[in-house]
Amino acid sequence: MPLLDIRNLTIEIETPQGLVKAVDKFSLTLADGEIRGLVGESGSGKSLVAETIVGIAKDTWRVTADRMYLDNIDLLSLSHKERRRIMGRDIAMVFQEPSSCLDPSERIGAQLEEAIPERSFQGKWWQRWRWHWRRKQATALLHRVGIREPKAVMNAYPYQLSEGVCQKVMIAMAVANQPKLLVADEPTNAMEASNQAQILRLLERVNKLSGTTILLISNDLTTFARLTDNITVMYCGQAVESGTREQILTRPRHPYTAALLQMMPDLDGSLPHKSRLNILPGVIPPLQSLPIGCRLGPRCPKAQKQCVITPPLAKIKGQTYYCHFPLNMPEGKSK
Amino acid sequence: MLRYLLRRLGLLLTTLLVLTLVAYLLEFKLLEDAQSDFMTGYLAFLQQLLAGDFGISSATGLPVLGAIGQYFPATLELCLAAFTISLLVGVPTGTLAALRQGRWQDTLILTGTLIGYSVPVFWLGLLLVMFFSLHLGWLPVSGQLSLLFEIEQVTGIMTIDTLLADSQYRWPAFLDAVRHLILPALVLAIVPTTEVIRQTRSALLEVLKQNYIRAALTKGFSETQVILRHGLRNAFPMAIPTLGLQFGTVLTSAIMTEIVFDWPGLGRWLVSSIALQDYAAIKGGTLAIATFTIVASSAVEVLSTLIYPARRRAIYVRQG
Amino acid sequence: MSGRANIYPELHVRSPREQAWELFRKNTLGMIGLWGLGLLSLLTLLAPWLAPYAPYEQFSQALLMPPSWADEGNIDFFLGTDDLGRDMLSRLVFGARLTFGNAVLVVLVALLAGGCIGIVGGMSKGFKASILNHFLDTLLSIPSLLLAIIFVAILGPGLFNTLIAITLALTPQFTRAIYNAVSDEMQKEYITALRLDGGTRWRILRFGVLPNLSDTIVSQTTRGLSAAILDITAVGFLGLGAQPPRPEWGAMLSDAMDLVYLAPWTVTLPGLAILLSVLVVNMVGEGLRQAINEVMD
Repeated sequence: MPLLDIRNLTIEIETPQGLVKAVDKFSLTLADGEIRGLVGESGSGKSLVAETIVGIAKDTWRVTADRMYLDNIDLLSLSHKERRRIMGRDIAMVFQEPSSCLDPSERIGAQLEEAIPERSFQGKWWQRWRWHWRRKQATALLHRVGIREPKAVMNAYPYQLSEGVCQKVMIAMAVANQPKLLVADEPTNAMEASNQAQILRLLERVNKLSGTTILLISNDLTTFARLTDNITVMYCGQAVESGTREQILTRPRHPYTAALLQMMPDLDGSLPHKSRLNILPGVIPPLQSLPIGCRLGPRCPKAQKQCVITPPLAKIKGQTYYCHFPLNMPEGKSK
Repeated sequence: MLRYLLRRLGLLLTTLLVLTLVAYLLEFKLLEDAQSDFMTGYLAFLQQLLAGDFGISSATGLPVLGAIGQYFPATLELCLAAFTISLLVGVPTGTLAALRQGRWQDTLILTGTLIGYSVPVFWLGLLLVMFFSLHLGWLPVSGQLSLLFEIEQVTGIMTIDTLLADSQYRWPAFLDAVRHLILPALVLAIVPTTEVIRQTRSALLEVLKQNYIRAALTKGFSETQVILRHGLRNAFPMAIPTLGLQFGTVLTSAIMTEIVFDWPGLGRWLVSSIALQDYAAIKGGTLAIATFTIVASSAVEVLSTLIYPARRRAIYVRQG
Repeated sequence: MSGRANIYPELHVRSPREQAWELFRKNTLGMIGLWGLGLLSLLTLLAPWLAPYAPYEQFSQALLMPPSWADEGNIDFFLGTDDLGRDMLSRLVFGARLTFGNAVLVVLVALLAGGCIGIVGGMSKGFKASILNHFLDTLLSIPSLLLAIIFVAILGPGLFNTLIAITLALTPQFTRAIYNAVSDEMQKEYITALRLDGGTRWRILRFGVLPNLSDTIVSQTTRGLSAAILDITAVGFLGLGAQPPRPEWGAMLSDAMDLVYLAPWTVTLPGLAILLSVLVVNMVGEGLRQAINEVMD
């Protein structure tokens, strides 16, 4: 039973130039307890997907999907209010630029206490009326995310803290109500390497200790590939390929995935001096003028006439991809 | 923090000093024969001011300072009433407009503020007098209190004085004072109310775009909860300094309102002094109104900084 | 289409100005305001040819005649007459010159003067800028109408003196707005880049700062224009501006104060004229500000 099941999610955005299909027929299935990586360049629509999942879509978006289930609850059929409630209970999100996600006019402690739900109270019933159980719990939470001086941080305002600490606080707030799903949208963007490693380790621990499913979104395969169980690759609003970590890293079927992997510069010196980097020709097309068929078509080194038709979903050993001419195919099976 | 307060105080004093300089220039220009040496004249003028000597009114032969003390409370009463009305009406209306951005409620409110912003205050006063006082006869035409009542002046604010008065007619007198206050206060409130609505709306819209609002929404709170808890509290410090600047506008409108309603305040006194060419009174009245404006808007700014820590940060950054 | 590097030729990228204009045209209120403003300008320019009578002509047989739609009204005097038998419509049309026309003049002068000081102040740093700052703060802390009244008190009553006074009172506002915009712009990275490229002050001003001032100028001009109309009429109403026989709208109003009960239209109509002209200015200003803001975002 998957925790999150999304089929053919389409997000259209109203712009002055008319409706733009920013995400096209995107499908995603998350198993309980996995860490899923969602990779794509900026503008590929991965943040839109994340924001739709946690339910903060803007008024100018039109979201449609064939199926959107969270743990047997049909999210599409819920009223706005019920959906809000489910989101608050079962899903949490960690954003990029954490310092801007904390209310600048309130102390960290108060914000953290706000995030602690009533039901997480443990103790005798008469103690419920003593306000400091929240404070205690908040301190414990900060401890859990690896902040050494919880007291000082609780009394601080967001602008007094570094980005790394802010992100830890955000994670503490996210795990406060023990969500089933944690969506992390480029949580280590613009952070120093040591902070980055800390945050990623923290996310891994959250996953291992409380079994929280994590959807980890990034534009960079290198930093977090080792963390994930499965990886989905997005390009221009379409999921191009999805599979286990080994499959994606060692046997990519889609040319875009292969290109992404080659783009990581090898520091072992295999790249000859002053040679060109391995990048795809061309640029990411603007959303107003997307190519028909396979959206990678014009940039794909393997493109053929057939690529003007949208490729159907293909599946080999649990690895799914959308391509007419997949790479790394076992003998006898390739077309 | 102390450094900031001292800085702000320094700024306030400098501004007041420049103000006296302007006032002195005014006098210097008018009485060119008085003193030939500019600097010594200015210093003497400053000394006079510090000693509380604002000169003698040529119209009444009485000290100007006393006249200011006599007329100021009435103006203050009118302005405070108008400000209260504008806050009570403006903040909820502005919040509503921001929450319904782009829908018909928003359009309606914005159109309303546009009209309110464009109405000449004195004309609106006349219209209201025509309708409520002359046509319907509900409210008095002008003045601060009916002549039937004899109230001893304590604070000069009539609604308080009538309550303090030791007389059996205390309540009727109070009600009468309130009835006199309604129309001028409403007229005076129009401009600041539109400003409060617009400032609240735009500040709130600015805040609602921020990441922390979106982050708070993912925690499962309803929009209303998030806006009340995180929205308004961050919008106010953005809106308040501009509201402080409104004191000036209110005082100007107060001059017009006082004339239309024959309200015994500073503005009416100032204009009649101009008509009488009573220069000492003009100078004194101007200094009083301008000082009041400057002090009030500085006080608002300092207060908002003390209350809202996010503004403190801006100071830290500026200080490097 | 210059499209040398443009790989999507079917995609026409419009300039910010075109986009703003496009947005403004969709704004119904703004367009109504623009038409109203055009009409008002036409009235101001063509007053002698549009008005049925001369503004001072007295018809002694038609004193205090109500507007033509009232029972005692007469179509010869469409908006009625005042206590001296002068045609209200003609007086209002000529009044547009005195009130609106003068307001436009005042704002243009204040914009030029304030703009120059503001640009010079905004481009300079240190002591000079600090002095300007304090001086402006002081002047701005005195409301513009009060400032105008004080200047009139020094110069003596009269329309011309009022105009000078209001120009003097508005200039600090323009200076302040443009000073702030320029010094904000000067802090931005691309100006630093221009300076590092060895751009002269004039070059920085011409290509870096000035093109980005248009929204400040637009919003400040419309704001100043509505303030100027309100101030001119207010001073006129106080009896310090244009003197009675002249059909300045504020002066007409104060002239008719005693007639409130007898002939309400003599009070309502000039006020309505003021309200409408300020309203159209504000509608245009608001529409332009919205459009520019939306394009900037």
